[in-house]
Amino acid sequence: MASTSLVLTDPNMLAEFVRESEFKAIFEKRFAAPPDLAALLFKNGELIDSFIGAHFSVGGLATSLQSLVGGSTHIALMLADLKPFQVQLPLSALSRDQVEITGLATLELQLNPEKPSNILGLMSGVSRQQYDPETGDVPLTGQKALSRNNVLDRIAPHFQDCIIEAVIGRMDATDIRGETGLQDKIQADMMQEAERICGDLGLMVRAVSVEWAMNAAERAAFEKAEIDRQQEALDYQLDLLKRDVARQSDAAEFQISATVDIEKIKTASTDELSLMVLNSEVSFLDARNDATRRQEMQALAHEIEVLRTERAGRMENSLAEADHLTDLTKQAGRLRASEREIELLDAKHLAEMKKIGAFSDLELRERSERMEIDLARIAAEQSAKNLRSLMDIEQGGMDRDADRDIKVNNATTANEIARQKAETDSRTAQLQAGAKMTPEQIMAINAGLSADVAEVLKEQARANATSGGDSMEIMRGLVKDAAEERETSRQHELNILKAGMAGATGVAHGAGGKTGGDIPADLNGDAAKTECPKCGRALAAKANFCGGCGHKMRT
Amino acid sequence: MAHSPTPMALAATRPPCCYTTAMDMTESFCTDCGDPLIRCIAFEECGGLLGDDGLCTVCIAPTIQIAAVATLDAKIGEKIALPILIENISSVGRPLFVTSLWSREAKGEWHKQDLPWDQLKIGKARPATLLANALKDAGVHPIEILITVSSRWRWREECFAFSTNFTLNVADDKQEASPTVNIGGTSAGHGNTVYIAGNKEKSSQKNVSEADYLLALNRAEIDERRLGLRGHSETGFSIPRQTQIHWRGFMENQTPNIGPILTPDGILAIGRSKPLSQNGLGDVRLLATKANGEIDPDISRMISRRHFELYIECDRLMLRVTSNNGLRINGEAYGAGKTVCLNDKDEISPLIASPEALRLSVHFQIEHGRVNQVTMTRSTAP
Repeated sequence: MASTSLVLTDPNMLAEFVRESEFKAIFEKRFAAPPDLAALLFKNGELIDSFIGAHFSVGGLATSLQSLVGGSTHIALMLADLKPFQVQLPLSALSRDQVEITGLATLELQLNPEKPSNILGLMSGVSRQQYDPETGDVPLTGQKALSRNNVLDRIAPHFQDCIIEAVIGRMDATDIRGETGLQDKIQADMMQEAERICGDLGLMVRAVSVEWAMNAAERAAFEKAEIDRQQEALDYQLDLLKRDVARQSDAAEFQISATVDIEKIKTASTDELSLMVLNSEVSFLDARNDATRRQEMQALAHEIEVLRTERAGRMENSLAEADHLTDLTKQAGRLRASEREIELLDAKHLAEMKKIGAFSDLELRERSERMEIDLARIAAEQSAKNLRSLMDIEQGGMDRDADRDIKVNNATTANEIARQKAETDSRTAQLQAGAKMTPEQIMAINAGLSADVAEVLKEQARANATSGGDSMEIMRGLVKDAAEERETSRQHELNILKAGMAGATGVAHGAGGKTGGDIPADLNGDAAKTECPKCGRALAAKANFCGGCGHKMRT
Repeated sequence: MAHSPTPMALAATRPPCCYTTAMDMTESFCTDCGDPLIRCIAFEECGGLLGDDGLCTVCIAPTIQIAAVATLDAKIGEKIALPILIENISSVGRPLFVTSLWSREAKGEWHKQDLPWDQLKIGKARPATLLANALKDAGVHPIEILITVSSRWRWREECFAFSTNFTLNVADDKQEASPTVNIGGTSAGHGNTVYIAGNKEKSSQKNVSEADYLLALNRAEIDERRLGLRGHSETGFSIPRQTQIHWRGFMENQTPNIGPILTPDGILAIGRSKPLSQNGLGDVRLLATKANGEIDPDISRMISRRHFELYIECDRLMLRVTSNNGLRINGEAYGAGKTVCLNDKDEISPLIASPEALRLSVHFQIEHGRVNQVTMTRSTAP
C-alpha cells in the first residue's frame, strides 16, 4: 500500500500536530514521515517515541479487533522540521561614541536532529486544544504548533543586551562596517548564548551574520564627501573661466593697411618696413569690431555672474545641510574665498571692459550695487539659517535622550512582564502535563529534559544497581578467595605428602633399603614398603603405581 | 555488560595427587593415578605441572581488563583508543614477560600495538592502549586482542599466545532504516495498540565501561603457530611434551624407558656418563662401538660425559651442545652452548673430527600436525 507523505501545513511552521481528521479511516491508511521531518508519537498525551523517517499505519480490520480487546487509546502525532531555517532579527545599539547603530542579524537555526523530542521545551507545553470551543479563546498555555517566529521570539531578548549592546558599545561608529572580527565575535557570542538558552531544547545556531544600516557618523562623512566633490567641480569651472578672461584680455588681432603695392611690402626688409610705417604708407588697425568685442565681454561678464550665483546657491545648500559646526565654519570660509576670487575676477574684467568702453560708468555702478545687495541678502539668510540649525541640533539631542530613556524603561518593563508570564505559563504547563506523567518524566521535565531521557536514565539506574561496579567487586572477591583457598589446599597436601614420604622412607630404611635424602630423622618411621616388579624401585605400600616407570601396582 | 569471567589461572592442570607426588623430584609418574609427571621448566620455583596443552597455569596467569571509563561506542569512521590493564595474577613470585600485543577488528588484519614495557611482576597490572582502526560498517563489531607472553627459566623459555574479544558498537552516521509504526484503533487515531518495528531515535549517550572489566583469555594455538611462537616454524608441526621418545641402537639399560621426557627439569643429558639409574650423572649413555659390537675406547673417549642435551621447548625438539668439542648436525658444526631445533631426518654426529664414527638419526612420527613419537637411532660406522 502506498504511503501518504506527511508534511507541515505552512513553510513557516517548525512543528505541529497532524490533524486528527487525517487518521479517520475505515480501512488501513499508511503515512510516511520524510527523513527531514521528525515524527513525535504521543499516546494518551505522553510522548512515547520519536522517529526520523518513519511509516505509520493507521486503522484496518486487525487493529480494529485488537482495539475491542484492549480498549481505547488516544494517539497523536507531531511533525518537526529538521531542516536548517533562517530568521532575521533587527538590532539597535549605541556605539562607544554614542551613535545609534542599527542592523539586521540573519540567524541560521536548526532543530537538533539527534534530539527532536526536545522541541517540546520550546513550546511552553503542548496542548491539542487550539482554542476553547465555548469561548473561542486561544488558551494561554500550550501550543499546538511552533513557528519560526516563536523560536525567534524565544531567543531574541537574550541577544539584544547581552551581545549586541555589549559588543557595539566597545566600538566607534565609524569602525563597525566591514569589521570581520566584530562579525565573528557576534556570531560566536550568539551561538554560545543560544546553546546556553536552548541547547538542551534541541535548537542549534549554525551561523549568524549582521548587516549594518548606515549610521549618523557614516551619513555625515558621506555628505561631506559629496560636497567636496561638487566644490572641486566648481573650482575647476572657475579655473576655466579665469583662463578665458585672461585669454580674452591678452588676445589681439591686427589688420595691415597699406598704400603701397603688397608685393613691395612682401619683399621689403625690416628697415624698409619701419620707414613705410613712419611715412604712414603702412598702418596697423585693431581688426576686431568694437561691437563684437563688447558683446563677447558682456557674455563673459554674465557667465561670471551666473557662476557666482550658482556657487553662492550651492554653498548655501551645503551650509544648510552641514551638521557639524566645524563643517559649517569651513564651508563659510570657503564661500568667502570663492566670493573674493569671483569679485577679483569680476573687477579685473570690468576694468578691462571699461577700458575698451564696453560698459558705461553708470552701468558699472548699478551692477556693483546689485551684486552687493544680493550678497547682503544671501549673508542675512545664511545667518538666520545657521542660527536655526544650531537650535535644531540642540533640541534634537535633548529629544533623543528623552526617547532613549523611554525606550529603556519600556524594555525593562516588557522583560519583567514576559519573564513573569513565562514562569506562570511554564508552571501551569508542568502541572497540566504532570497529571499524565510518571514521576521520572516529571523529574526530567523539571530538569529541562524529555520524558524519553527520563526512561533511559531510569533503566540505567536499575542496571547499575544490579551490575557494573558491584559485579566487579564480587568477581574480584571470588578470585581472591579461590586463590587463597587453592594455596591453603596445596599447603595442606604438601604437609600430608611430606609426612607420607617420611613415613615410607622410614619404613624402607627400617627394612634395609636406602635412606631418604632429606627426610628428618624423627620422621623415619615404620611405614610399609613394597618394590616395583618392573624396575625394582622401592615404593610406599600404598602406592598404586610405580613412580619410576609408571607400572601399575594394584589390579 | 556481562559478568567478568573467572581468571584462567585458577584452573589446575592436573589432579591434586599428581602435584603431591611431583614434590618428590625422583618420581616420574604419579603413584596415585599413574599419570606421567610432566613438570614445568621452572618447577623448582613454581611446583607446577603441565596440562595437555603444555601450559603451566601457575607461571602463566595473565589477565586483561578494560580500564574504567573506556568507550565502547564508535561511529563509522571513528577511531577508538581503548585503555587496558594487563596483570600477572600468578600465585608464585615469578615474573611474566609480555612480548607483544595485537588487535584486530572483526576478521581484519592484526595490528601490532605499542607496548613500552615487557616484564610483569607478580600481582602487578601495567597499562597499555589498543588503537582500533576506523570501522567502515555500522553494527556490533568484535574486537579481538591477542597477547603473547613468555615464561623464562635460565636459558629456556616457553611462549604462549592468548586471545580475547569484546564488542564495539559502531553507529551509523546516516539515518537508519525507517521504522514502521502501527497505530491500531477503530477510528480517528483512537486505538489500543501501537506497534513499532525498526529503528527509532537513539540516545547519544556513549556506552562507557563503569569499572575495570575482566576479559576472558583463551589460548590461541593457531596464532602461536602463525607467529612462530610454538611448533616447528618451517613444517608447522608441533612436538608436545607428552611426545614419546624411542631409543634404538643403544646398549641395554643405557637409555630411559620409552615415553615422554620425565626428568625433573625436562632435559635429557646425553653423553659418555652412565645413566642416573646406574648411579651416573646422565640420562642416555652414548659410546662408540666397533663393527663387532665392542666398545671403541679411543673414539668413546672423545665423547664428553655430558655431550649434549635434548629437551622440548615451545613444542619443538631442541638440542643444546654442552661439550666443548662440539658436534655436527647434518654436517654443520656447532660449538658449546649452541641451541638447535631438530627436525625430522636430522643426523647428529657427536664427533666433529670423525662424524661417520657415531651418528644419531632423528625420526618423527607425525599425526595431524602433531609429532607423537620421536625415534633416536644410533648408528656407527660399518
